[in-house]
Parts: sequence; C-alpha cells; structure tokens
Amino acid sequence: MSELAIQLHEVSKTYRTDRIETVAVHDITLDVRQGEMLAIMGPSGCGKSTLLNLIGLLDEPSEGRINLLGEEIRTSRDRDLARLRNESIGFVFQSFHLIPDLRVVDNVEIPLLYRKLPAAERRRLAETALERVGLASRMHHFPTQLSGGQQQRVAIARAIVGEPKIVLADEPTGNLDSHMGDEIMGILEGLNRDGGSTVIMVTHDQEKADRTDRVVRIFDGQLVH
Amino acid sequence: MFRNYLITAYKVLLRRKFFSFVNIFGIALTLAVITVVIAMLQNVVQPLGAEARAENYLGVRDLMITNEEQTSTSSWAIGYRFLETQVMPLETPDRIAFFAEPREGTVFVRGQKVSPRVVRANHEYWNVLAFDFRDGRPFANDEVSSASRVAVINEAMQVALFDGNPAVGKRFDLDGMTFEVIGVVANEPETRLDAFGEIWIPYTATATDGWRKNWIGPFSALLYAEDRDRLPVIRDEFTARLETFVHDDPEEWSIAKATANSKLEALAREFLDRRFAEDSRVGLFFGAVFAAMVAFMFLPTINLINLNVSRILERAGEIGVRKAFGASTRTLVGQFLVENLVLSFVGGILGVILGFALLAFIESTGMIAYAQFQFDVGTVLAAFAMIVVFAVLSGLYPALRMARMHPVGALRRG
Amino acid sequence: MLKHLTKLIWNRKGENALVLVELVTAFLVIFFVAATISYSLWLYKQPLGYDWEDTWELRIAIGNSEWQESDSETLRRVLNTLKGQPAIEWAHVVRLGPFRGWNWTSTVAYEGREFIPMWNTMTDGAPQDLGMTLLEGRWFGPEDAGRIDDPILINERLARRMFGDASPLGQDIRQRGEDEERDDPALTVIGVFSDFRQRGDLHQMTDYVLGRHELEDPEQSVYSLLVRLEPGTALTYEEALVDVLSQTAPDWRFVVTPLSRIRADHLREQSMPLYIGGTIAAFLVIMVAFGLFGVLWQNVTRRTDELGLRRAVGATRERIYRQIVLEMTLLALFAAIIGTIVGIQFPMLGTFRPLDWRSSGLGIGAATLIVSGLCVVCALYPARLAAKRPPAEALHYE
Repeated sequence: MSELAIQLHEVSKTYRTDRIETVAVHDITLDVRQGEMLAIMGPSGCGKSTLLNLIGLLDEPSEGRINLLGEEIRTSRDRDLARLRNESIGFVFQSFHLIPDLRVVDNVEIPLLYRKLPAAERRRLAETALERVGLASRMHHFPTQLSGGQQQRVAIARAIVGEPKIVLADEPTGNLDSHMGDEIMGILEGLNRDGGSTVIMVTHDQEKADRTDRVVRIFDGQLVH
Repeated sequence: MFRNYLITAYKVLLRRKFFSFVNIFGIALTLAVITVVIAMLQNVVQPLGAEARAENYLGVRDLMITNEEQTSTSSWAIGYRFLETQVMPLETPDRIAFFAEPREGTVFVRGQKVSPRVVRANHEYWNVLAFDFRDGRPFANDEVSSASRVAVINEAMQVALFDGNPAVGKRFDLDGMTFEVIGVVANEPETRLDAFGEIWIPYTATATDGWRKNWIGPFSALLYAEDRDRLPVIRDEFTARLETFVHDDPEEWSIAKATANSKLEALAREFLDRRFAEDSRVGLFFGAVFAAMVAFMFLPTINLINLNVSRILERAGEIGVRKAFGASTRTLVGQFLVENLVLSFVGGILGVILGFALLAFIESTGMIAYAQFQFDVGTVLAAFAMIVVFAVLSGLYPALRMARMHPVGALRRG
Repeated sequence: MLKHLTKLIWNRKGENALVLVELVTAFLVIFFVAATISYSLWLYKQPLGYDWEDTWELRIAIGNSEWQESDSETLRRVLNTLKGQPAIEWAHVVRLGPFRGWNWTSTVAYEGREFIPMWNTMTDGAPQDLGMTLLEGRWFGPEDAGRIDDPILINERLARRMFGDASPLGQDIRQRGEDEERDDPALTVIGVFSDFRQRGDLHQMTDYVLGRHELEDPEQSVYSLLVRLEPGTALTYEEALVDVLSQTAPDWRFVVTPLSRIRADHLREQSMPLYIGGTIAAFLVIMVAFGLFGVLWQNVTRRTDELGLRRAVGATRERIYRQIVLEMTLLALFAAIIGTIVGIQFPMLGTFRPLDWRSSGLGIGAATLIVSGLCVVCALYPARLAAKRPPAEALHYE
C-alpha cells in the first residue's frame, strides 16, 4: 500500500457571521492515497469547496487534524502555510482566475515567483508546463484572447509548473462545454497516470466523476457512504 | 427620471463616505482658490465704491516720450506740462479729473511717525469719483487755484491722527506744512487705483512748483462723460491730439505715446505689458486668465477623474445589472453625470464659502490696505460656472468609460 | 519579482496612465516650488556685501521737481548738518539705496563683448563705512576728483566674467555707443569688490559697477542718503532729525526709514509668492494623496481574485503587502523619471535662472522623495487590507 497524500481526521469548519453559526463541514475523516484520483461530489452549497479549501490549506479547520504528505499541519503561520501551498499543492479553479493583465507565460510562472529560482529557469519550467497542456504556441497571448478551455489549460499549466504532489481542482469543467470539459479531464487524467500526481477534483457531474478512481459524496457538510 | 437620478446620487454619496469626502474636499479647495482670484480681479476691474462711475470715464495713466530713432525714451505717469497741453484742452469730456500717484508723507503724532499715502488732486477729482463723505466736504476750485493748505482724510487717518475724534477744522503738519482738515471720507482699498489714498490735498499745495515744468510726472487723468456712449469720441479726440504734441526740446522728444483706457483695458495692458500699444487686447487678457485657471485646475481634475474611474469600476456590478435589465448607456452616463454634478455642487458651495472666508482673512491681514471684497453675485456666478466646467471635465471620461463597459464583463468583475 | 511587477504595471498601462499623469503633474508642481524655494534660500544665505544695521535711509523729495544746480549747495549743507549730529556716525550719498528694488542698468563693452551690469554711485568713504570688502586695487577717494576718465570699481562676478583670470585693474571699458575715436572718457577699473547686493537678500546675483559720486559736480542729482546711527539711538530720534533737516533745507521733504524696516518689507514682499506657491503646492499634494488613496483602495478591492490566487499558489501575506507597496513605488519612480526628464530641461536650456543645476537638483530630489513617499504612504493601508483578506474568501469573491 502506498503512502497517504492527505489524511483528514474529524475535521469540522464553522463560519461565524454576526450571531449565526454556519456549519460548512462537519466531522469529516478522509484518507487519500498518493497517486490516487479522487472526485468529491455533492449538490451546491453542501461544503465541497470548503472541504477543498481545507485540504488546500486556504482555510483552517475549526476542529480536527489534517495530515499532508505524512506531515501533520500544526502551524497556522502564514509563512509556513504559504510554503506548503507553493511546494505541495496546485490549484485549478472553476473560473480559471488568470490575471488578465499578464501574458499566458507570465501567469504560469507565478508560483515560481515565490521560490528562489533564476528568471531563465522559471521561464523554461513555464514553457515545459505549457507544452504539457499543449499550449506552447499561445505563450505570449493574453488570457482574454483564449477560449475558455484554453484558459483552463493555462490554469492547469500554472497548477503543475511547480511539480506539486497534489493537484486540487474545484469544478474545473464547470464553466466549459462538454467537449472542452473532456479535454480538461483528459489532461487531469494524464497528470495522474503519467506524472503520478494525486488529483482531487470537486464536481457535480456524475460522468466526470466516473472517470476517477474513487468518488466521495458530501451532503450537508458530511460524508455519505 | 431626474428626481430618480438625484435620489440615487444622494444614496451613493452617503454610501461611499470616504470617496464623497475626497471629491468634495478637492473641489472645495480648488474652487476656493478660484473664487479668491475672481473676486480680486473683479475688485480691480469693477466700478465699486468711490469708483462707482468708472464706466463713465477713461483713464490716462502712462506716458512715454521718445523720438523717431528711439535714441532716448522716458516713461512714467503723465506730467503737468502734458496735462496742460494735451489733456486739459480736450473738448469732448464733460469733466477732467487729475491726481498725482500716492506718495508717502510723514506726520508725527506725539512723537510717533505716521506715513500716510498722500494724493494731490484737482477739484474735478471729487466730481468724477464718488467718495463717501462721512464728514465735511471736498476742496473746491478756488481752494485749488489759491493752493490752500486744506486736506481731505480717510477714516483710518481720522483714527491715526485724531484718535477717531471729529477731525474737520483740526490741523496737522504734513512734511513741514500745516493743513486743515475739511473732509473725512470712507476708506478705499489699495486695489482701486483711481480712488486710493489716505490724505488728499490740492495738487498746488506744495513747497515749490518745479513740477509745473515736467512732461513726465506723477499725474493720471480721468476723462469723464455723462453719457458713456461718448467715451469712444473722447478716446478719438485724445489720440488725435497726441499728433499735436510739441516738446520744449523737439529734437530729442518728438513723439508722445499714451492711451485712454477703461479700467479693464488698463489692467489688460498692464498685465500684457502693452501700455503704449494701440490696442489693449482685452480678449487676450481674458484668454490668459482663463488658461491660467485651467492650468491650475489640471491636477485636481486628473485627480477627480482617477477617483471617478475607480468609483465606476467599483460599481461595475451595479452597472452590469442595470445594463442587463435594459438600462441604456445614455441613462447610465446621465446618472453618473448627475451624481458628479451633485458632488461638484456640494463641493462648489463649500468652496465658495471657503473662498469668502479666505478673502475675509486676506482683508484682516491688511496685506492689501483697506481691502473690502464685496459679496458679489457676479463672483458667485463665475465660480459656479467653473464648478460646472469642473464637473463636466472630471465626469466625462469616466462616464465614457462606463458606457463602453461590457455588461457581461461588468457582471463578472463585480 | 521586480520584472514581473514591471510587466504587470506596463500591461495595465491604460489604467495606470491617468495615475501616472497625475503623479507626473504633482512631481512637476513640487519640483518648481521646491527648486524656487531652495534657490531663494540659497540667495538668502549669500552674503549681502554690506552692513545694514543701525542705518537709516533718507529719501529726498525736492518739492516734486527735478534737481537744479542750486540743490547741490543744499545737499552740502544737509550732509554737514548730518555729520554734526552727535547721534550720527556717518552720512553718505548712495544714489540707489539698498532693498528698494531700484534698478539702473547700462550696457558696457569690453573687447567686443557686451555686459549689462547694474550701476550705482556713492560718495568717497561710503564703501568702507558700509563694510564692503575690497578684493583688489583700491576704493575711490578725493584724489580721483578732476580725472578725465571715470574711475569705477566692479564686483567679483563681473570681473570674472569680463576678464577671466586676467587682472581687471587699469583696464579701460566703454559704455555702448561710445567708441575709441570719440573723446568720451573711458571707464577705468581701479578696484574689485566682493559684491553689493543692492536689491536685497532675495534678488539674483548681478554684475555690478560702482562709480564715484562727485559732490563737486552740481549736475549730479541725489534723491537718497544713508546715515549710520550710533548704536542704541532711539527710533524717536527720527522726528528731531527731520526737524533739523527741514530747517537746513526748507524746500526739501525728507522721508526717513530704517534699513531694517525696508529689508523686512522687502523680504516679506519677495517671499510672498513663495508662501503662496508653497501653500498651493501643499494643497495640491494633500488632494493628490487623498485621490491616490482612494484609487489604490479601489484597485486593491478589484484585484481581490488576483491577490487571492497569489496567496493560493504560495505567496505569503507579507509578499502581497510588499507587492502592492512595491508596485506603487515603481509607479512613483517612473513618474519621477518622466518628471526629471522634463525638469532637467530648465537648467540645460538655462532659460529660467532660479532653476539652475543646484536648485533643480534639489527640486528633483524633493519631488522624487515627496511623490514616492506619498505613493508608499497611500499604498500602506490598502495593501494591509489586501494582505489580511483570507485567500479562500478572496477566491470566492465573485
């Protein structure tokens, strides 16, 4: 049995606004193996995205423990979390979140900016990542000049440029038509199969979920089996 | 619709307190400065106080004498000989007033020196200018001819020389000569070049009369007509008569150059350094003043544009929704401009108030002697005109940018 | 990172252009005001070249008429009366008294080059009594009476500009229009003095020619005298002095003013435009500060998803904060570069004397500091705001 990439132990997340407490995620325990491709499914507002944010260390759990690549996250220090995000995790979002004022290649380079790398090396890695998603020829375009599918491929290139062990994708095909969605799925599958990356994907598309190794379902912030 | 605009504008104003404050603050300060400038210009140019009849006279202030080759030139105010030969014989003016430019005199009051500005004038001076006599009377023609030692003083001098007690009939020593006060007039500010003075005496009341021989000298003349439509006739006669100028030394001084001007023309000439040119170029003067104001407003305007662009981008969501539900670009631009006008008006009113406060402050410092800026409808209107210019300038570019905004993009950006 | 940010700023040039225009304009306003003020301060610190303490100016009005030959007799009487007063140390004719802004220029030529210095004349002993510094040669004195040529002294500035390293002593220079053939007397330089800044502390340095006022010549008109008082003489002495003088010269009027007061008036009058300019500049800067603050705040709010994304891919709060401040600093420096290119034209072309290299340099320095300081200060709070926002919230801002 291979090692665990992610281990959630009785994790809960509660938001407090004014006097109302909202429980977004409740008592979730989940193990994800390294090299696994996992889909998280559930209706809107069930807490899928919150769960993904917790895994991606964008959010801190109110209770419970998170293990990332065999290491327990005990710190809430901004600097350490930022380093972990940078080195271990790559994000892909539903709405791409590309910076419209930067060219494609500069967008892909962004994660490398927060590492100590010479400019030429950054550029080389960014180009390689773009080649992997088949967009090397669009390197010097602005994101707005690309189609939605192409933009999402740029976002994937950005997610993998730092060679993270884990790729987190939040409804990566949600804004795309089925043809482009297939393409993106193909790329994510390739990453998982050929590159050995752990891919965790949030989706509410059963068909896409079926293409993964394992599906977990969330309802009202809780795992349903 | 307009009412709807106003209500939205008011709400936006309250919602974005910081932005509203910055906008209003900038407009208020800019307009305060502009109000001060306009008020000062108006107080120099407009017929106010003792110069109430300024629109009925032309002033001759400067004289240059020279020759064809211009080997010698001499210029200053006009001299007594010039008055005698070129000004007094004019037939078209109904009255001709003349006066010497104010000169610092010395009066000792209980060992303390007072340095009043003394003006020597003829008797018509009092008929052409409309001084507000608080006490006594002006000096008459026979007192001028007989070089009587009589003086009219202003209220400030009544305080300085006589502790504010009734002054008519009292005497004081001015530069070694004794004068009797025959009248007291209200203070006139330094900016009224024709009426300013602190003590007025007959132009003849001097120790010696060497000034009678001078061509260039300390005098200015005011050519007055009951009917202001006749001023051009007076100007023509004055200009034509310059041709007859003959100096005692005709070889060296063959040409005299002088002009008869309204107050505005005089200011324009002074400003453009065209004292002796044929035309006064008042239009150019106004152009220069306007250009200076626009230059001054440049930075505040850019600042407001920047703020407004941010304000619009911030509300991209709202704009997107409005567009999606069918608001035309025109309505949106209209709404934005109304908002901007409301802001500009609030800022403008504050600015005008601040401007008048500044003017009051300038009056109180005594930087300009006896300054008294009038609360003048013209000033307020001019300031408001500037507000509108300001509002349109700072609202136009952002509004156009808003018009170009794509509804979908706007929605996404929100 | 620097390169990355430069790219970001450049690609956002449409939005940044207006902010840049604003910054450049603010830069230029500050540049002008700061350069002018620094020039004035420099002028103020330069030595005047004479002492003005305990000295009164006596202005003479000769019954509003021109100078007559008979007045020279009156003048001698007045000078003798003044010298007889126990409270008066000395009395001299100084044709153009200090701090008055009076201006008498006349063109002189030397070896085909023309100069337009200011001129003045004084009686024998006046330069010494005024505490002026002789650098070379000698002052004029009674021995110069009756010379055919006119002995003059020139200030150091004119000596350097006219003669370079050569000694000006004994050189003949001519006024324009006079040539060798005509028998107009030449001007002979008999000495060089450091300076006589007649128009006062805040006026520019000028070339200066000092001639000898010949009391013997009845045609030389006099309208201004200087008297030095024994230290501690009360101001009330003025009335008694005017009394005595009126008896000596009944036809003349005297206006007595202490040089200290004329100087104070002169300083106030000359510095007024500086105060006004400074106030207006300060007001513009405050306005620009508010504006920038607002624009940045908006900017940061709108870029929430960009900043959130950066956090997600591993930027720390600290880095986000630094990025925004750095972006503004870059923009400010860019504005400063443009402003400097414009500003540097003035000393290069030399069209406007107050904007020489020294004051322009100071002006550019001050403008760069103030504009960048402004940008950084205005960026601090919005940057903190941006850095504080949790990345998850930032990414789901839509």
